[in-house]
Amino acid sequence: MDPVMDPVLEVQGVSLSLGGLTILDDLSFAVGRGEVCALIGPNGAGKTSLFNCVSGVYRPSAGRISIAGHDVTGLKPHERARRGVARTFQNLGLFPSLSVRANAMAGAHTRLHARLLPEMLAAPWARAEERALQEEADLVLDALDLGAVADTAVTALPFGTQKRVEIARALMARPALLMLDEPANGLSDGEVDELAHVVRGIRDRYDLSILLVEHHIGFVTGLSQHVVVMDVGRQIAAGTPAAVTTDPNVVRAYLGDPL
Amino acid sequence: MTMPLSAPAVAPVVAARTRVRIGYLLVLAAILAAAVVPFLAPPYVVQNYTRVLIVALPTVGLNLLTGYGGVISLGQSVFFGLGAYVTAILVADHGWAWWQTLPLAVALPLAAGVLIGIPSLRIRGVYFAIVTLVLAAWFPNVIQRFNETTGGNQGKSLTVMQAPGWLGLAQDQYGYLVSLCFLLLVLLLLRNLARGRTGRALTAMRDNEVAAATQGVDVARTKIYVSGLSAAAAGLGGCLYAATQGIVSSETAYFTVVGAIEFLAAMVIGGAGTVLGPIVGALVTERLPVLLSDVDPQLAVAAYGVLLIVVVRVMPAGLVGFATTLARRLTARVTQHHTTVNARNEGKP
Ligand SMILES: Nc1ncnc2c1ncn2[C@@H]1O[C@H](COP(=O)(O)OP(=O)(O)OP(=O)(O)O)[C@@H](O)[C@H]1O
Ligand SMILES: [Mg+2]
Repeated sequence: MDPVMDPVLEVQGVSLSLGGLTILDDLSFAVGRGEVCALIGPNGAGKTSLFNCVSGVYRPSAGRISIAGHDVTGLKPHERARRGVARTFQNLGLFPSLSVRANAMAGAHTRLHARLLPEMLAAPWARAEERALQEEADLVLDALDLGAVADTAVTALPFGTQKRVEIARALMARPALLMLDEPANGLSDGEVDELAHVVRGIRDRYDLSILLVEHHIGFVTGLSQHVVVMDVGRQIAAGTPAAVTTDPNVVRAYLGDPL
Repeated sequence: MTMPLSAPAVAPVVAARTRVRIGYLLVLAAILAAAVVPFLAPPYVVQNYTRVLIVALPTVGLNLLTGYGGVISLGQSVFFGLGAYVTAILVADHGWAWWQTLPLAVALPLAAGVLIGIPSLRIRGVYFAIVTLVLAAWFPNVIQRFNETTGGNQGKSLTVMQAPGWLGLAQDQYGYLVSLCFLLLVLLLLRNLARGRTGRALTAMRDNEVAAATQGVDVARTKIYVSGLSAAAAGLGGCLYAATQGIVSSETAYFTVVGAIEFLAAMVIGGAGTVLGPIVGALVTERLPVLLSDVDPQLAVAAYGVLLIVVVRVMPAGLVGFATTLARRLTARVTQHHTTVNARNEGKP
């Protein structure tokens, strides 16, 4: 694998065991600045588990995770959010009691300066900060075609739309690294193409580096510069989309016989 | 991408604005109504309403921690009691005026809330509920144990707050109005808190703790702070209780598990996670038994139980949540009607 210049995310020798099972086995790769890196592999390969290790939900049993050159292996999830890690969840991690807009605003938690006392006393600057955030949220929602449902309860939306709300929430953090766990899940082919367009748009607009997990192979090859293939916790291939999709190992383990 | 929503965006905005305006008017009317109560009702009824206001304080605090934050606490009675004893002891034995005890009666429970929270809120699950329940069960024994200072089950008497002469108010009227002012103040502070960054973080934590943490919410720290604030509100309630009732003892129900459960019931009945729920809940839990026991004391207990079950089953967001949903439907219908009427009238000369 080529050494990645100026990596936003570095995963070095990461292993994870849960309940005596080895879920991840000595995984190493990096995501360069401005790059879309895809993580693919069959069900149960450990893609979501790796997301959990990067966002701090799981603690790896070995290895090192760095964000923009800083070792974050020992940090809690909220501390990693402050370092610029944002993610979406494969099976949704929205806040059902909050509106679409409030969900988006929740993503900017670390960027707000208001704390208990200024909030309780309704300090004018804290109110102004909150209003500005609301306007910003509306812009991000518009960019994701969610403007019309800003006041809606998230639970009233279909699965695919909720996944887009999660992207909006993650964008509100202004992350250095955006991790998307199966964003195209549950979408029709036309919608998948449109989502690819949206993701490309936000990458350029917000200057993002993206780590993407997706089973929709067309979506992956269309978007990513770099693909890492996993199978049962191990990395079995890595490289450009073209190289990886023709790799016999990958075809055997994941893609199946070409039709 | 397919947009599954076809509703026009304008109508909900109009409805929301109308709703906010109606909401403010209702709150203003309620405050005015509350302010005239002591001038219309006989003293014993005024005193009963004073207790409603005082019980609302620990309930408001609990609502922040449990209603918004999802952390179940069964120890509000302890913090209420702490505040009450700080005031009772300082007034009765050290000659302080009741209002001089206020800062301490709030600060001590606040510190206790934080200290209890530090070990028990770092661990997820029901640990905090159990710790606070144990404390609530133990608290009356502590009062007994230190009966030389606290008066134990014999109680400790203090002079109740007196209205300054120039106000021309009776003692019960003054106690009521002071309690009302403090309750409104606390409500205002907590409402401000609930509608910003912290309120969002609390709701987020309650809905999905892992997702909240990945948004950058320091879950343990937020819970600990809010545990302190919740206890401080209870302490203020305790201070006012002592200063208006004039006696505290280890037998006072509000200082026991019974009190803790009443505060919890008031929150649930009124509406957990709503700003006004605790007030409505306190009104029901304090006034209903009194009203019904005039008819039949047995009936009071039964009706209370039935009400609790009905609310929990039928109105998961309590009475206030239920009323809000109802009002929202109504205003939505009214504005929809208006817009259709306006649309129909357009184009006419
Ligand atoms: N908390 C856990 N405890 C025990 N095993 C777990 C846990 N989380 C994940 N696993 C196991 O780890 C393996 C990898 O799961 P993971 O969800 O990371 O796979 P994935 O690559 O995301 O799969 P999919 O494509 O289906 O989403 C699975 O065998 C799963 O059962
Ligand atoms: Mg997965």
